[in-house]
Amino acid sequence: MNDITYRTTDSGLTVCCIKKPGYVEKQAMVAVRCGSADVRLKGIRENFTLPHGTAHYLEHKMFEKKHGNIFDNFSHLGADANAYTSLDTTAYYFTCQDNFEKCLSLLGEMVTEPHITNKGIEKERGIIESEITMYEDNPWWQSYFGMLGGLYNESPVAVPIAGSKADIGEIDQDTLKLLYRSMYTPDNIIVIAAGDIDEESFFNQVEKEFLFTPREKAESVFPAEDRINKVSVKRHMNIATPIFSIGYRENNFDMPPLMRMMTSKILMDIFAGKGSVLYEKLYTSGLCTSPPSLEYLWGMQYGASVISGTSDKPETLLSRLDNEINNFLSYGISEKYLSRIITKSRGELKRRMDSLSFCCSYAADHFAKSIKTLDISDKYDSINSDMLLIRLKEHFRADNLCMCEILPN
Amino acid sequence: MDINSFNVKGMRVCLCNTKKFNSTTLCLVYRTGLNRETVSSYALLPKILSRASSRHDSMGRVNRYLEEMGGAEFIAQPIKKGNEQIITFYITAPKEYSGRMFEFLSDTVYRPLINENSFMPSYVHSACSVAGKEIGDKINDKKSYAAEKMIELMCKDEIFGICSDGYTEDFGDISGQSLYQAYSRLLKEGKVEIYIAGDISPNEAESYITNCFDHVSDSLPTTSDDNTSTSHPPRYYTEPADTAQSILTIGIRTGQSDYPQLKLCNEILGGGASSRLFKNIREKKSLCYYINSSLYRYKGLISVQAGIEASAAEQVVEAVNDEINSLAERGASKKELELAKDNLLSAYKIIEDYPQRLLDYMLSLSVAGKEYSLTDEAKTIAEVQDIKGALDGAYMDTIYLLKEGNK
Repeated sequence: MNDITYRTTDSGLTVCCIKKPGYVEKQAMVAVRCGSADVRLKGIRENFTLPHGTAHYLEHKMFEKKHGNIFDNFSHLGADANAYTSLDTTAYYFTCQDNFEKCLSLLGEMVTEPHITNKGIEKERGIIESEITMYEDNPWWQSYFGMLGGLYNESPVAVPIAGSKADIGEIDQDTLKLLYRSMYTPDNIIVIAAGDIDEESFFNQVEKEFLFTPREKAESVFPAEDRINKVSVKRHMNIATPIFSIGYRENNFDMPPLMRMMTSKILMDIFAGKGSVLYEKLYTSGLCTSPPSLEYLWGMQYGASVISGTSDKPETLLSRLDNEINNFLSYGISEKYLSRIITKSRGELKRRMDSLSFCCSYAADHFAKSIKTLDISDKYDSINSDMLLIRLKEHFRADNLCMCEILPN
Repeated sequence: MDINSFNVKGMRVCLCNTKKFNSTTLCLVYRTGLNRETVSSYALLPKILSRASSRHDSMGRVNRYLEEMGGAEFIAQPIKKGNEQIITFYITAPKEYSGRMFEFLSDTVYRPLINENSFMPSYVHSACSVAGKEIGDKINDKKSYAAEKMIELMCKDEIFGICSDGYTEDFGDISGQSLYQAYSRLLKEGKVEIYIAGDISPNEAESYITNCFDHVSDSLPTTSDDNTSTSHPPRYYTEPADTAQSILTIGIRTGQSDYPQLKLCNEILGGGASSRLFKNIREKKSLCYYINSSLYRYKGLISVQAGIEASAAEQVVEAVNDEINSLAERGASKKELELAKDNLLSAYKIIEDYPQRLLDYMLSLSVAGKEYSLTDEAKTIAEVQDIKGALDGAYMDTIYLLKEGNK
């Protein structure tokens, strides 16, 4: 599909190069298997629990250096630097046209030399608080985390990435340093580049300049979850049409993450996707005006199949969805449907790989699940309708879901 | 990347030929003058046409066909550029499906599902209700809602103030027949153009189009010029919203048409993290959560948007006013001008990495009456020596506050 290589440096860093000849832009990313859900850590000597929002706070503070904000150094090189934190990943990246080597050095400096002080942490607090406020106003975000809060009782998965204002009030330099020491270890990090890149010199530079202190990595621990916390969550906001997120919780961790994701997505495409009979009916009866978005939220120790969108009557929509799942359980999944969805999935991946930022975050996402490949096209060959039916029956159960509705005031 | 332009079967074709993408992107557009009488009917056409054609005669069949085409992304919607309403059909799919993509676009636009010169009444009905809902749902995205609302208020007596998505109150009067008449008129009076990005040679493009399309009639969109507004004290509007932050949007008329100079002014004023608004109002004065400005190129309007606490609104308006005046009176330092140029020039260079952005840019050039080129406009920006005078006569016209409420 594209020219993609994976290598490992002597220090144990994973390096991934995605060659895109002819592209003007170049992007490089450092991704750490450390996200907002990693708050209960089991170290070699002791166990500790961090406040929610620690990984995200650390992400912000990695931009601060003795000499000032490293963001400005990227700007002076004509590059844009940014970062994001998800449930299981913190990623730092830049995009540039020229000065790729210099920017890569800066990125290395940024992630290997933290400059964490209480003074700097205080300065950042207001900025992070206003980010939290912004998310509070975002109905989609509220619906997503409302749903996760219904699926999980104790798990940090249900807490929004940045934590609450009260959570981050507990964060100081010791918290951030502790997380950095425990999780920013070479075997826990990938360095990715996408664009018209010379693979050899990229790899050599990473080998030479990305020197993380080798340490024992802490293990992230998740509480065992029993029953679904709540089947329904409702909130009111200033919106016009209700917004819903329906999540089916993952309980099968014997299945490898990639298979969990692929089977879930194929099934959702088949029973609720754009080309599904259900969607056409929902549209015709006015229950939906655009196809619901379908996503598999995947972590090593948690997961959920998520169907979200807008509808005047989310509850009616949910019961139609449930009926449709039962129809497939009774009548089976035709090979024709399956092969159409596989064609679609393969093509979509190919199309999306035209975007450098997709390439990088996709590689980071796969690394977080210990998957060292991007081309998953041939993996579809092992999927058949029998295994899909088993998955449908076990996973998409009416007693295994939560729906969060954001309703107009 | 090679940019080619030629005519086939009455259609103007812009081909951006490159091997670097896995996929091909096509865009077929119908350009027409914004008109309050026709805007709502035309706004429905992308919905009704993309729902079913005579070949793929239901929504499910269309969508399943797109899935079989490697999960092609297909977006049909009305947009506004200057005083034009443009009906756009974008499709992107892996390049091995290029031939089928041309065929699909042609089926969608020229072989609609009709019955005795009427679209299916039930389809028209649901298109109307979906379009109405989408207009109502704009409030879900507060930033773009506020930006659009400000323009609507500021230009309420001008063609540019017409909303290209149509008006809910019009939808009730639209029938299968009247919509079909609107469709026929658009085909006759609109200007059709095809934009292509991907690994397709000019010969291939020509033969795809020859095979898939019938000859179309081509005409220039007739647009009328707008009333020119004269300087007046700013008009204030406030709308309550149940949010934690308020959004302040300020419309500024520059009265200028020199695009390179205005583009640079906008970049220096509120283009990014090194801009004056960001540095002085966000960083130094800490008066807002974010602040930026954008330029409406065909109208010479600058829109400034900031996330604030409502109590700071007056201070922010004053501070923005000071920044505009200072930029108008004293111009920019050499260093600032060079930085702004660098930023803009690199933004121009990367357009070619993003197929949809690339085709949208080519369409913008066409609307501006310019040749298709990736470099011409960048050159004119590089040549600007001074922006002094570019904001002479600029004034704040409209101030719109989407105001926070109690949570």
